[in-house]
Amino acid sequence: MATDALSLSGVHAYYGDSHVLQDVSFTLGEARMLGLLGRNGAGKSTCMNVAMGLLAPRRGAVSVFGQDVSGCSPEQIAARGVALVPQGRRIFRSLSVRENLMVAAKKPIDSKHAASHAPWTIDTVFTMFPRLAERRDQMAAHLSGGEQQMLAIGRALMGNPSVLLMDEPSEGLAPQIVAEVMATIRKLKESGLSIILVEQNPQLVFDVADDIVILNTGQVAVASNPAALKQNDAVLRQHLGVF
Amino acid sequence: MTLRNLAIVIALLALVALPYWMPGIYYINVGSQILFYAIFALGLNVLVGYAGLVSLGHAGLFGISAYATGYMLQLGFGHPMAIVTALIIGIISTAIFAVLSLRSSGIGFIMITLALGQILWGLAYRWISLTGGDNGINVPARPVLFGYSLGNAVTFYYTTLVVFLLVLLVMAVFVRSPFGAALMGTRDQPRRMNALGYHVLAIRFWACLFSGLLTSVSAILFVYYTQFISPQTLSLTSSAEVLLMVISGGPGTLLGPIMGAGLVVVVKTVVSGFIERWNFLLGAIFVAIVILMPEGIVPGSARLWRLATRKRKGGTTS
Repeated sequence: MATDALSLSGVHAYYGDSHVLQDVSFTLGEARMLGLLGRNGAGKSTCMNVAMGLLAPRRGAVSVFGQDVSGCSPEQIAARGVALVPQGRRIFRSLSVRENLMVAAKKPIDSKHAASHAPWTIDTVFTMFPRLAERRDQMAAHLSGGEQQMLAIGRALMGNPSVLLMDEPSEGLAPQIVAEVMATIRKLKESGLSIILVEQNPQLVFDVADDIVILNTGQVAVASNPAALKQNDAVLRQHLGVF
Repeated sequence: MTLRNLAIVIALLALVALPYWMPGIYYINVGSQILFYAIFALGLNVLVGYAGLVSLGHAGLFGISAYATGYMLQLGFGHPMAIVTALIIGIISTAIFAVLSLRSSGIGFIMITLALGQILWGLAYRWISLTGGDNGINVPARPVLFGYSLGNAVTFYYTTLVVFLLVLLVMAVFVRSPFGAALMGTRDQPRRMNALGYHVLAIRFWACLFSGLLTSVSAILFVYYTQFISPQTLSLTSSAEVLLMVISGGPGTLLGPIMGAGLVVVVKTVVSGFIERWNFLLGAIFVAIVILMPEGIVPGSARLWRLATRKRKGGTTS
């Protein structure tokens, strides 16, 4: 029976007095990829912060593999197999590439995904991103934007997660690098990892995602699948301003 | 052999041969002082350089271990017992210090450590029955190690050197360990470390304990060197001095605090014999370092060296 890897139900979140997420609900199925779309300020990154425990919801619930994690600290949620590739990379600039990966290394938790896959190590991350292997002793601050993004993904993988949250991994990257990053994301999906991919560019998400959720002003505007959405220009124009 | 390894071998040889090329006992003692203050600075560097936590109360922890050693010896206990007790008391005090001060970071951490340091300084002055007040505590004699009396300046220097090299080795392993990398991660991005599954407060707490251990080791060497401990050792000036060693040498580097300790001790002990206003000179040197090498002597010199070699190469090719 299919289980939910991560779900938000009726989540309300605030920044101070600003009501940023209003009754947001969506579910990420196990070994599936959910594309989270929306314009700037729609609440996509806030959803990721809530899911990771970086922002506590005032109402509603967050659950990971059926267990309620609402109000849990980020380290407790990470311990349940959730990892975040944050917007803007946020790598440790004063550490070397190898140290960035070493810091994040954790044993896999007991999950279906972990049981069917060899754990991630520095070597396997270097195999996936050979460019990082070439720069293993270089300070992370001296990497290009694309390499920093690869490092951010590699660092998240070192935690051997079962659920990967990726917040705008294509942001600020050249088209060729975006293609490389998306190829990596495809590989991760094929490996059976449950992924939420946050993007502003719907074309990138439509190619890889199984399910799509579009946020508009902090609310879920559309929950559908890529095939159906591709046919619905009116909805895309209304909520994303494209097509 | 690389240039770096060659420099390490030369530095080691120079340290080992120091009693033979130094002009007299006085300068050998200056060498001992540099070494144990370097251990103190390396201890503080764990917090300042690797954890991003600036402490202005470390002289208080230093003083606790020094007083513990002196008090135990005064009570008639042997040297091993005095040393072990001083280490244990030092670590327990650091744990209390950490629990109180780690509730905050940044300016808050500085202010709490400053306040705790001042409380300990005040206690050292006022708790006369325990500390002897302004008169301090005298340490009757230095220990005898494997038949060699540490009362001899050369023997004391070599003992300090062995402890210093051990501390340096431990520090080198620590910096390259996963824990060292995690500590630097909490310095750079504590929120990110949280999201990676780390308990930032716990990492900082263990770093404090490690820093406290090194501080205690240096305090024990200090009290055996001076054979006397008084409240002056716990003063804010002492905390500022060791912070100056770390910042001037280069926080977050292995060599920086050692260079900083060398600079401060030499100005304080040797130069002060020739210049009455040595404090002015030390201040001027510090201002010059901040202006010319804000990252500290060691990383700053490395940067200037790279710049010079690049220019030279550029000049050659053009």
